[in-house]
Amino acid sequence: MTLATIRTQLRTRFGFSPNDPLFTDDIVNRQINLAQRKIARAHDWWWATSEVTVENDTGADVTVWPAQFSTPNDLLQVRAVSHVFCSLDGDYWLPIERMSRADALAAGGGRTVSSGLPVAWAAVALTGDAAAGHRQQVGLEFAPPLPDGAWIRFQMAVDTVDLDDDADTPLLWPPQFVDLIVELAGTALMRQRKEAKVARRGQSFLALAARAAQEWLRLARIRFAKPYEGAGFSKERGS
Amino acid sequence: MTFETPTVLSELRTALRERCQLDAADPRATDAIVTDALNAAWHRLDVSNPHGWPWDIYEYDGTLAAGTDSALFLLEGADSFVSFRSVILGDPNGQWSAPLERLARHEQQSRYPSDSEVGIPQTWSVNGYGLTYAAVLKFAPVPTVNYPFTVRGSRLHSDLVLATDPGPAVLVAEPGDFRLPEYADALIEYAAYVMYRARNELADAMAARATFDDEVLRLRTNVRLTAGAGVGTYQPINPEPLP
Repeated sequence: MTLATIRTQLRTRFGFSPNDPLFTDDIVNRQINLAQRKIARAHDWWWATSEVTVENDTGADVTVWPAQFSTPNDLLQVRAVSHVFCSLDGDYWLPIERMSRADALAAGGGRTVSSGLPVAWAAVALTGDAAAGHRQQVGLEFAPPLPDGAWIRFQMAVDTVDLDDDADTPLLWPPQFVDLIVELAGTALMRQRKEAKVARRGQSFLALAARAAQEWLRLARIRFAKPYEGAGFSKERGS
Repeated sequence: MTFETPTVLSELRTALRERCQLDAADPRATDAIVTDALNAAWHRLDVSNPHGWPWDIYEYDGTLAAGTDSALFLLEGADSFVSFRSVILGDPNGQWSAPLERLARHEQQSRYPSDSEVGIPQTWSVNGYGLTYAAVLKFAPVPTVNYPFTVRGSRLHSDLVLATDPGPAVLVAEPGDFRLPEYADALIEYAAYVMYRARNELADAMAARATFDDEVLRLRTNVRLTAGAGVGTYQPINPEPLP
């Protein structure tokens, strides 16, 4: 399902002409991308998580990503990080606790150099990096600092990628979600067209479409709540 | 209509046009537009049961190669899964099989902290793939010989089934050859809702929508693969309350 196909479906379903100067391809594309973002924020979709293993080669106590990642991971924005493990040899891993930065510094005894494993980590937002394509980076701070050549393994939640080219396909969404994208984007465009004023028998096209989008999202959240079924043995702490 | 239960795309389109009293020559109801509405219904029905539909249950037999700790499954297409219920490990000689224990990935990592630890796999965990809509099953410890394994869970449909015209039998092409007249009715009602709404015929759209809800409720209530009590432990697929 490409961006062009989604756009066609949206126009068909909501009655927008491709020749309408108020709803050009660019305008429709923007709403499709915004709809993607809304879906990404609406739930912690389990398939939008990933486990990453990376070697610390910076020698600093801040590990920045995705700058350190090779393609294609650096196409994605990292939304959150959880469950950090560290290793000195890349084989034997120990869980590291998450603390606030101040608590982490105290737990590490204030040391600024160390050849051993850290005792705590904290996440910081790094907005100053102007690397291409990185709107905002997330950093991991360790206390004491992570030694050169040590390894980090963690789980992260990633964000979706904007659709730019007509041949682009939504990277993170199963085909069922295309309808959700269409409904959400269509609702936004209908609102732009001030369709709320048009009501028949107490029901407007816009209200009907908005309700359909919300129902879709609610059902998807329930159906795709988690990747496993039945009882398990984990402590279900989630991420 | 000469068929009772539509089972292929062209029959579904015919049934939908009859339901909405549409002409095949209508430029607002071309084959492409009608197929799009049917696919929207197809997707919507997929997620309309929070517990998953009985016909979505799927089993996959694979091999965990020596030295391999993971298996990747897409969420669509052949051999895909949208959720996993159990993983059964068999022995290389076909003499025994045993269910593996499911853990959260971070718990699995804590229990088996060394990547180089090898042995008969005891646990599995499932995580996202991050880059696309896929699931990664991780096994620990890492096997030293090839082990057959069976994954049981549920899958979803994809556009591929309906996109072929005159397509493969819609229901026949799905696992289990599960045919239900209500299934086609529900598809057509939701597609009718989409068609009516696109034409701004809102009262008709709402009526079709209400019928779809009735059909889904009937399917949820009555469609099951077993009847009566069993001796196994009941494990709901998704224990969240019904919407």
